[in-house]
Amino acid sequence: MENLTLLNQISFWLFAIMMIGGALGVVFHKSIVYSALLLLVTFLSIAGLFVLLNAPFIAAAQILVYGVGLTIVLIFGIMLTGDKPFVDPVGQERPKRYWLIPGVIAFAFMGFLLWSLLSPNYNFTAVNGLFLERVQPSIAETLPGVQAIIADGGVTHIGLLLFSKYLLPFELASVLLLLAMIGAIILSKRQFPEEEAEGEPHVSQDLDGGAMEGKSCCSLNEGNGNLASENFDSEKETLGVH
Amino acid sequence: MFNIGLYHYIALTTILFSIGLYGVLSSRNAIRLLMCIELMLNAVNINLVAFNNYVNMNDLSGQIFSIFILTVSAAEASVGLAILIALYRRRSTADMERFNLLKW
Repeated sequence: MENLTLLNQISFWLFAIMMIGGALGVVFHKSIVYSALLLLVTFLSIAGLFVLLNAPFIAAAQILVYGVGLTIVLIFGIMLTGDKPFVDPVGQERPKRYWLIPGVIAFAFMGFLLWSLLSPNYNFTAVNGLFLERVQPSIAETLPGVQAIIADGGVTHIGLLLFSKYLLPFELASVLLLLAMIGAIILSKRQFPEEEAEGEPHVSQDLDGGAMEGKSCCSLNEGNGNLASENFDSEKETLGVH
Repeated sequence: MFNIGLYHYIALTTILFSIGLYGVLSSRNAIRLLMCIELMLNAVNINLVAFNNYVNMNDLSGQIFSIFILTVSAAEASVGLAILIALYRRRSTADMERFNLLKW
């Protein structure tokens, strides 16, 4: 038990330092590709923190969705939007104290939150009156969530909750994913110019019609070439091909 | 002091969220801005799971919420990148300062 606590502490600080370092690198590194890879470091450290927080399923989902999917999509975006991907495509010319206002806002935000965290009358007992860190292990193991985690990492419990208590948000999330997929396809589709978009189906139609026309003229009115060509010309005119 | 508790996680996610906030406010590259939004969402995710673990272990609702945030952020990133690529076709840049058509 003593060793486990020590391991817990060491892992927490290790993952915390990796996470903060990676996040700082995401914001401050000059090369945007390195930023994306440092974002991957941050995501993997967060997955480690999830394991420490008794959420192995969320850790796996974090690695799958963020670590694999999102990082690759972001690198695709970098490659598609930069001429020289290893340099920040934006360039370096910026106003002199551009960091001042965002820095003040972010620092004030962080200071306010940390100060409110450290203020002594901050009271969590309204939530459920229960801090697991202060609860005896024998009592903690009777809780349903802890039992689910011990049994199979909480997968069964999460699945049951998703399909009973949180069924409507689950379905809404599926609709949202479908909409996001359709929206992404429509938004990133290459826009053809007006003439090309209208001309292309006509050409193919004309080719098909010409082939059909040739066949029918050969089989039906073999000797009457003039009429067939006239028909073909009029067909061409109605199709609008010159 | 050295026992890892809820406060450690809250402080950590506060720092992470603030880094993401600074990045969103200060970065001019649109892709870096998307990355910083992901950092902020991840900070919220850690907070949800930490509160679930330390405060209320009667069920795993916090983990469910973090799954929903995961879903929404994946959708947000894909649509955001699609918008960015459409913008890049128009403007051939990823600079946030150049997307100023609505600025008077």
